[in-house]
Amino acid sequence: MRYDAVCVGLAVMLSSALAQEDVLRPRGAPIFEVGAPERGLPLMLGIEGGLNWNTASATLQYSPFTPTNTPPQQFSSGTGFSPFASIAADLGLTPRLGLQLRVGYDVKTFGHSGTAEADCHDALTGAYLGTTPVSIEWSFTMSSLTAGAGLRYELTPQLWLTAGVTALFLQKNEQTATYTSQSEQCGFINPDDGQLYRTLQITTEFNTPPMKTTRIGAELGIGYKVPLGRSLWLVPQLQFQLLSTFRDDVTTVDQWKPTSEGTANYTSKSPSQHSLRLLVGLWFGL
Amino acid sequence: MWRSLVVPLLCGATVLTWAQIQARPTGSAIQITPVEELNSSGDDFVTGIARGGREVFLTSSRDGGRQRLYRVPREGTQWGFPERIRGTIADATHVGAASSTADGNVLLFAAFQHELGGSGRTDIYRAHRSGKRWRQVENLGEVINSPYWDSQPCISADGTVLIFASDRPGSAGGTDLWISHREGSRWSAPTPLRALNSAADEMAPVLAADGRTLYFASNRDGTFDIFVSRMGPDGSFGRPEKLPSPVNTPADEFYYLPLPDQNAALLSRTTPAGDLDVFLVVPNPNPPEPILMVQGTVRDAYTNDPLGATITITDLRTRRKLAELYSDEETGEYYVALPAGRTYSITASREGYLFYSERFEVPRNAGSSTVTKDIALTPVERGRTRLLVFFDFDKAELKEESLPDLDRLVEFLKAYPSVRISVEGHTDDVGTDAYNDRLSQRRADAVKEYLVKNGIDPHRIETKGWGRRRPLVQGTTEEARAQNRRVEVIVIQ
Repeated sequence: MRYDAVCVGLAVMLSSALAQEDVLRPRGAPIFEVGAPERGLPLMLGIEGGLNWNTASATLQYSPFTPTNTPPQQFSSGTGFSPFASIAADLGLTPRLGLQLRVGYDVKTFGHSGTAEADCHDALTGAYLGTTPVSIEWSFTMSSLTAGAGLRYELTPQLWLTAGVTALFLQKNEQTATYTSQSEQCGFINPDDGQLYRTLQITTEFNTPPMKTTRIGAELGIGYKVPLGRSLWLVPQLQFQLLSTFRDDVTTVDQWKPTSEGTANYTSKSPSQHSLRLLVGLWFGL
Repeated sequence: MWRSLVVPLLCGATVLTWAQIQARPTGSAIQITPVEELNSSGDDFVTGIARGGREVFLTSSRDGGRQRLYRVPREGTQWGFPERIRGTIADATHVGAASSTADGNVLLFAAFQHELGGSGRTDIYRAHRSGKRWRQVENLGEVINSPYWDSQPCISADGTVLIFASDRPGSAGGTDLWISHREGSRWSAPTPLRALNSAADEMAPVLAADGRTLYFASNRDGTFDIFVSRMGPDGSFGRPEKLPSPVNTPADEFYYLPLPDQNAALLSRTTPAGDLDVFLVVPNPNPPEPILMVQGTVRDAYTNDPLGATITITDLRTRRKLAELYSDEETGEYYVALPAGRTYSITASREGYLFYSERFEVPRNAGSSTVTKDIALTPVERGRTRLLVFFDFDKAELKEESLPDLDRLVEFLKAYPSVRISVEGHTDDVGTDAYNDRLSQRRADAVKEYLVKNGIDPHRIETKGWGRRRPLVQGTTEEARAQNRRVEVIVIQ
């Protein structure tokens, strides 16, 4: 009984909170009225989904020398598509300005494929045979929960601009790299453990520490409202996400082509990743 | 004796009652049909009519759910396509409930969360039309708007009275009707229309073009119905009367607007789908008092270019300026609604031009009608106008009705101190030349005398009596003679 009363009370409070006045009705229209005409309340809810176009880059700083075209140098940049989805609320502050709040799940995948050179060791004896071309294919995937807030400004009733901030909370990340020798005679020195692998191809799954568990970013977007019904809009939107780094600088030994000077260290500095996003939202006016 | 009269009296009364019942429109005679050209799946309601019924202002939530303002052109029974009013006016979450003066050039409207700001809730705003654009959009300010819901403005045809709905405290409760009067360039503090307000909601006021018949909606009997109240001789509104079925139904009815050019009205009503639609009511069971609609174009007499001019309406009997309206800046079109029972002058004036006045007598028992009167203004340097002055037959004493135009001439001569004029009298063709020459000269002299008395240097004024020798139009009809009896002012330097 008490529970029912609380529910009814909450419903009434919600109704009066959302029932917005207009030029005809000072108290607005009851939102639960069956068949009530749409009142254009400034609160909208949206379901969004789309694709990220991710770009990533890092500066590789070698010391004490820079070997020529070794496989790690293929890790300096990458691109890739990945999906994301979110739910959002838009609260009208003025006729043109609205506050948007958003939570979602976002996947950032990027990678690269290319060719480099590595020392070739006889797959059977381990004897050094010279250098050989190596093809490298790597990918990096970060999955995050996201939360964001921003402002929406309507240039016209259909066209809106958005600007806001977003936070990505890392849930998991997967990093794989596959090195394939172009020569059947060659084995590799595994970059992870320095051991000779007598195979034509090695695939490593790595988890480069330390990953950033929280990333902050800025979002800028432009969207177009296509009315589908009296309270329903389809909103395609193009958005740019400028994000903070996803990983601290990390220093590694490049063992692919040791010289008489030994091996070189390289530091992957200031790794950055940003996204251009194409999303489609289905917005419901309340 | 008495008994012999009873039967004929009863028979007579019965016949009279039957005749009255037949003559009065009954519920079944009233046709109410939706105006499909205006209706959509959202709310649609017409709140204002301007320019003699040639345009209406529609509020609709058809586009995205928010109330937006539309202008709909109308020609007779043909409706044009609703054109959304954009720009500064529309910078609000909801905008609508617009009402305009008869000329359609001053628009009052309501908006919720307008970009221009306001008192926090729905406020009343004003805009001026210039050609096809709305300019000078502004909040009516604290005199009219309150921190409460202030909406649904209704401005009288002459722009001097504002009635609106508000849920501010101070009257009977719910939303009530409030009235304010134009005092110069300001509105007076609003007062509640206590005779009309109830503890329920009163809203959607519509003051007909006669300036005396007020329609409004009230839910005092449950759902919103249309009521009508008429202004008495003391200027207060009388006891409201509910319009009959089928105008009022168990649905909600709002905004009852009589059409000025036909015996019909527009009505907004909730439909079974829950939205508001516009309906046409034919005939109008409670029409307002008749008016004379005067319309035309103000142009430059020499270039024929349309001119934006101030149109001043003056009651010639009381010499009181009743209202100021405007002709359209781009098209020169003007529209004036003159309620019955008065004699008016309509004067068009514009800086750099000599004014022109026209007299209109609107008898109390006349039906509604429309006249078209185009006005040609002459530039000051080549100025020539006919003065609206009146004399008794065979007399040269100015009648009271002449004074508004003469005062206007005094103002003109004070505004242009270097101008010299010639006042020229003319008569009709009745009588001898010698007689008419003398009479026309005396009349021109009477005008000069008035101007001098009011501070104009006599050396700036020449007079001439032309008698019947320079008729304006040829002919011997009374109409032609009336046009030829005149006093003209010509700028000579």
